[in-house]
This record gives sequence, C-alpha cells and structure tokens, in this order.
Amino acid sequence: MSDLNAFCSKLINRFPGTSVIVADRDGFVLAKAIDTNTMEEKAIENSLLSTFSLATDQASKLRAGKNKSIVSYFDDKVVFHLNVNNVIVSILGDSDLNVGVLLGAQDEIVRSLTALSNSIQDVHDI
Amino acid sequence: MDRQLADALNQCSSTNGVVGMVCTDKSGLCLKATGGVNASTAGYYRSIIEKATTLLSKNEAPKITIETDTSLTNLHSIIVVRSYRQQQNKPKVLIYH
Repeated sequence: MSDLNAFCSKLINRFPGTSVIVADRDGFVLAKAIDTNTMEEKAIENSLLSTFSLATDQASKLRAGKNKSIVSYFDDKVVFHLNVNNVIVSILGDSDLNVGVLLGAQDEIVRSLTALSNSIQDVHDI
Repeated sequence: MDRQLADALNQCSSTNGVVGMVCTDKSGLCLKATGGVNASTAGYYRSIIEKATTLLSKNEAPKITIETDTSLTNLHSIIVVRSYRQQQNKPKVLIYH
C-alpha cells in the first residue's frame, strides 16, 4: 500500500493542484494523496467513488464499447474518474484544471495499475 | 458547428511545410487536430502555454517555438502548428512576446 500511496503522491506532483484517490469498484479506498492547499479531505466521500462504479457500468451500455473515463464538471471543481477494470482512479481539481493533460496521460495510468487490478480480480475469483 | 474552425485550420494546414495543427480550449481539450499532430497532445501544449504565461504580464499571450532536430512547433494562444525543420539541432524551447 505504501507503493500505491507513493504512486498517488507522484501523480499529484505531476499534475499540480489535484488530489488523487485509488479505490476498488465498491468504493473502498486503497490509497490517496490529497493536496491540502486546494482540497479538504472531508470533501471526498466514499459515495462519490461507488457512484462512479454504477455510472461507468451504465455508460458501457451505450453501445460505444467499454467506458474508459468520465469527466464531471461542477461549480467549484472538476472530477476525472478513470476505470481500470477493478480499480477506479479519481482525480479531483479546481474548475480551471487542465483536463487535457489527464486525458493524455490516462493510458499511462491504466498501464501502471493493470497489475493491481488483475490481482484484485484474482482475489474476487477465489 | 465547427465548420469555420475546420476551414481555418485546413487553410493554414495547406501552407507548405506544415505537418499538422491542433486547436485547444482553456481546459486543454482538443477542439480540432489535423495532419500528423496527435489530439492527445493538446493538454500538454496547453500546459506549456499556461506555464509560459506566468513569465509574462497578465495581459500578454506568449508565442512559443519548440525546435527539435526534425520539426518546429509554434504555439500561439490556442493554436499549435508543427512544421518540418531542415537543420540538425538539439531540441530547444523559445518563448517570446
């Protein structure tokens, strides 16, 4: 888990002004890194994470293939959810966040977390 | 809806030597990409422009040139133009206004 926390810390260093949460599909937080200058920790609720799991399942039924990511724009923040099979990466930032950089890096983040996702799948299969 | 933008980019892309162009919005999202420029790079170009803007006064929009041994990439506000470069040189970034 410390490696996963270090991974989250690297991500927020790479994308300044963001907070990163890695969770499973049930909303259980596996690791996180919060930028306290821009985000309060209590602003991140577990329901936010499990709700995306439902949303991505629904989005995958739109006959456009499997849903990869969802970007949600709110009044005061932007939330970028990335679906890595059994793992969900949520990146939160201010409303002026450079979302294009996140979209450009999503394949790289997926590659980094594929092994973790596969190991979670193995646990579910037992 | 984007006909004007597409026409403008196509017109500029037809300039001799231009390999491709990409147009981004404030969030780094790609509005249009033509030629050999990958749409996924729009966010990175936008990030370079934002960082360069911090070097200048608030009202100035930077013009940035990224030179590599094979290409010349010009960034201006929201438009990125990449063209072929003849000379062999190490990569460098120029920011001017």
